[in-house]
Amino acid sequence: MPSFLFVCRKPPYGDSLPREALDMALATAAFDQQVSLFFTGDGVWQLLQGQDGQRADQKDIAALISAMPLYDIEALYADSSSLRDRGLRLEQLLPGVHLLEPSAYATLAAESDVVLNF
Amino acid sequence: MKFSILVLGAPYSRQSVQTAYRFADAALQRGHSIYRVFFYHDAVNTGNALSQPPQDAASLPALWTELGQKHQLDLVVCISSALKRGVIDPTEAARYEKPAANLAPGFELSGLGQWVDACLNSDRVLTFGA
Amino acid sequence: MTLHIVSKAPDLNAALADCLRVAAAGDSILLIEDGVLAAVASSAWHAQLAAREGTIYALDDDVAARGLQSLLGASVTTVDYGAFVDLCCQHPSVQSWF
Repeated sequence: MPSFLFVCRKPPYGDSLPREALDMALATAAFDQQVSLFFTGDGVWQLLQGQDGQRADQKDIAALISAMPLYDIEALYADSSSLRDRGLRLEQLLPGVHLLEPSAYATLAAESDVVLNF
Repeated sequence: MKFSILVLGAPYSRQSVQTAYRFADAALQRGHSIYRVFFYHDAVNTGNALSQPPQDAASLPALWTELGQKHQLDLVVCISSALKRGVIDPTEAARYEKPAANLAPGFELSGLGQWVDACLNSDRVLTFGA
Repeated sequence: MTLHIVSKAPDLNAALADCLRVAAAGDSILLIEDGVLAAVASSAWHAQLAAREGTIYALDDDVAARGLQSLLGASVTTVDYGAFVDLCCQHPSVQSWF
């Protein structure tokens, strides 16, 4: 089964691109492709617990990401270095997120058939 | 080699629609093929036939239409991105009871499945960002 | 080996910083659009690019449009659109940062 890696590096709500990237990831999974997501840079803010998208008159990004396992997307990775730079800990993130060192990214990307950065 | 191209930037706001066009043109001139161009996010406005640049500027929809007709390119505008930004074909205009349709010739509205299919059927996939 | 395409100004957008954090040694970097600002010799970003393994390319039309031809660092190779296409063929993976 071909695999797709989505690289998410923008914070939620200020721009619709992060949301449209997640929509694309979900659509890809719905077409029976294997999907992984790697959150890096300010993209890690998409994973923070306690979001309330309605306060920005938008659908909740955290709720969307939390629903990913229902679409068989289990591979959610956060860049450990980006978390450290922002003083964030894994416990503050949504359940099911795994840490990935930046040095391991190249292997993850190389193992993926298609890499799409947003 | 077979390319597919994802375009995200808004025409006339970001350089990326022009960069994507120049890349597509260069790839075709080099003898490569383009399986599909997918316009997503703000790039869906590239398919707006009602856009009218000033006389000294190129019409980006017209440039793509021309390139598409010359090389039989599959120019797909993401339907969900497009409808909320006011880019619509006659079928959708009728469905949602809109007063007009504006999708430029040579473009078609379709879903994200077309992009997934493009990724699966191309040697290289390139993104021109927002 | 991957070709990383960076299209944003390095001080305005973290695209280049995010790319450099995860790029493998030896990966190529192609600077296009406002990304070419990182190719200026006096830029701290150019010093960082020159210090790593891997070739640095910049799209010549974007360099010329911004008047940067005489300001580029010695480690930068300029390419035209045809060579841009060739680079995409030579690298098995192409990723865009914007």
